[in-house]
Amino acid sequence: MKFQYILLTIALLFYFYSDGLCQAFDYRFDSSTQFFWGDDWLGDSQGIISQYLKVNLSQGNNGGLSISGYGRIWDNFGNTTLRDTDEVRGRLYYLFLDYHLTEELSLKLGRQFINFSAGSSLMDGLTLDIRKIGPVGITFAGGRDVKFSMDSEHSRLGNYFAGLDIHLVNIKSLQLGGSYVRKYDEWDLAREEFGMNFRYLYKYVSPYAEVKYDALSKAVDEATVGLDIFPSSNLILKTEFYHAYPTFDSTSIYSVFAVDRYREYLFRAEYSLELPVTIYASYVRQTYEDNENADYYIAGARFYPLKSLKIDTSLDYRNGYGGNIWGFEIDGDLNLNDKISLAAGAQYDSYKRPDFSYEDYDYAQRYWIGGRWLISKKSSLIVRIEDNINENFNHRPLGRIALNMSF
Amino acid sequence: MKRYTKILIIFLILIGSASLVLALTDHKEFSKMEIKDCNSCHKLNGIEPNHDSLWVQNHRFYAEKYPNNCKDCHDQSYCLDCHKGGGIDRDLHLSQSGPDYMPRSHRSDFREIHPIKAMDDPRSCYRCHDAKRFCNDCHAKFRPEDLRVLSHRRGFSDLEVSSGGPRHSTFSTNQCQTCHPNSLLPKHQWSSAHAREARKNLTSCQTCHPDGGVCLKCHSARTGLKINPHPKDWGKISERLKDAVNERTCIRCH
Repeated sequence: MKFQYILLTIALLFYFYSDGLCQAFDYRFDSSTQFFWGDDWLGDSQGIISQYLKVNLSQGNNGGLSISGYGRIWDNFGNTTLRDTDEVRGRLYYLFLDYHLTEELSLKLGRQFINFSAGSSLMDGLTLDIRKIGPVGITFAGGRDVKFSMDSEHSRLGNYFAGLDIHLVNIKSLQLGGSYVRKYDEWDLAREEFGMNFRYLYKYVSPYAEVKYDALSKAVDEATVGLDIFPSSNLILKTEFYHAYPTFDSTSIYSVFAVDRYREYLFRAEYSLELPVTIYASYVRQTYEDNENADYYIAGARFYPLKSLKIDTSLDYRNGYGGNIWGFEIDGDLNLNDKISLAAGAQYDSYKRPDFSYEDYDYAQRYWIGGRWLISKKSSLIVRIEDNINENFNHRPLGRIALNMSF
Repeated sequence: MKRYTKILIIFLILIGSASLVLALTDHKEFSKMEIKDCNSCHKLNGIEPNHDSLWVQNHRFYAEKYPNNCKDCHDQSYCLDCHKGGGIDRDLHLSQSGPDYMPRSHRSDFREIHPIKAMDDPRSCYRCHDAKRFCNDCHAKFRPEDLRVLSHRRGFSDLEVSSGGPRHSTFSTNQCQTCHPNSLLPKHQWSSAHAREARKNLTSCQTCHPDGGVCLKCHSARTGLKINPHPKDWGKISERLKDAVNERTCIRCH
């Protein structure tokens, strides 16, 4: 039996035998039963039933122990060839025990998502968090590196993640941390990265930076340096420089190939008017080597015409190396009353990829509408339908119904 | 040693210069508040506003911070629903690809526009998707000629050896050196175009050729044209890579 199913079984055991547990723990179960239908991207039919379950058990204020789990099983009754449909599939997103040994020391054991500036992983393992030693905190994480493919898991023996993060704690206005990560692929060292993150807040100015250094390729594979300015309560300005240099696992043949760096320069402003309207705009200059560039513009607005109605709009345009695209999106959320809310939206893109051998642009449209009915405080019903019109489909309708319950 | 001492001193100065030591504010009681109300309070109190219109691109800077406030309002499922396609109680705005939910960045017909979006920093794809297998799961189900990648439309396989002569595809890799001794190629368009394209977005090659076997037809040191694919500073980095994998990658070509 695969590891993911064992963990899913444990989660379900908690679910079915929760009476005893509930006496010792505060608990919350969230369930969502969903049916999704419509054609896939190749035009084959799909009919998917999914069951989600999220579990939270905790000792509340009386103790330092909690258990959290989240997973999904699904079956596809359609005849799609794009996805695997031969059996019921399962995916365990996380299932971990969180134990606070002392106020300053805690551990997490099980499948969990961990994110350091040097790298992240969904892993089956242990995280040890020392909250405070003087002005610093230390977090260590290590375990089996879990990787999902489209329909299954392809983690293998010898795929491991280990990381260490040292950071300043509880120092007002200053965020500073450094981390070190190693990833193993079938016991060989696939990645060795150093990471650093920094942010400082001084009145209305906030400089920030994030750097990743690949020790195997001896290259700064990612760096961001930026400055946020908010001179008044209704204006945010941002300028940012981003650098990326593609690196690969050392176990991949691509790690030995020459590559080019990518850089971008971003400028952005967001302004809230006196009316309930916020507008924003940004410009990004993207640069590739050999003097090849692209320009990317985004403008948008958020309105609140009524207290119960929110409308979002955005328009973007990209032109240059790698293809041209312009498009817009508009969507709205309306609360009819305490129990019923509606939402709808439209998206349009006109694009020309560099590999197109003809001059004309292609276009893609998506229209959708949905609603949520709060049946009770602990249950709700969601219905959503959408239509896609594009190069490959005159109409491609998709729909879903979801019944959500908490107890 | 002096360099590390300087780094340590700078680190200590930064700590020392932080004048006020306060506990992180517990935000659990604000978890149901509208974002616009959060930010109006933040800005008035000299705290940097967040969850703004660029939040999707910028949230990683805040998520990397230890400790952070994320869990005051969000379970870990909130992260994984976007990063790994989950969908318990998802936003009505989100569309799906099979059982997986797609974030709002995957707009309109993402199958067709994703090659352009991937050029806005190819690394952004791999923050959620496994580079080796996720892309290939789908790409392997398409015919290569349908993917229409620029360099592939000018494939050397279809070039004739001479006007009216046989195509390159009729020869084996062992025969390359017969016509191209010392890996010399005539200055035809394809060789420089594919190199430029690959250097700029090598990750896209990996989406259809996860093991890179097709590259080795010309770039292996054993057979074919034996074109050297290594970067200019290869001498400085090769030892570290070789040791890391116990020469596992090297022996594929050498």
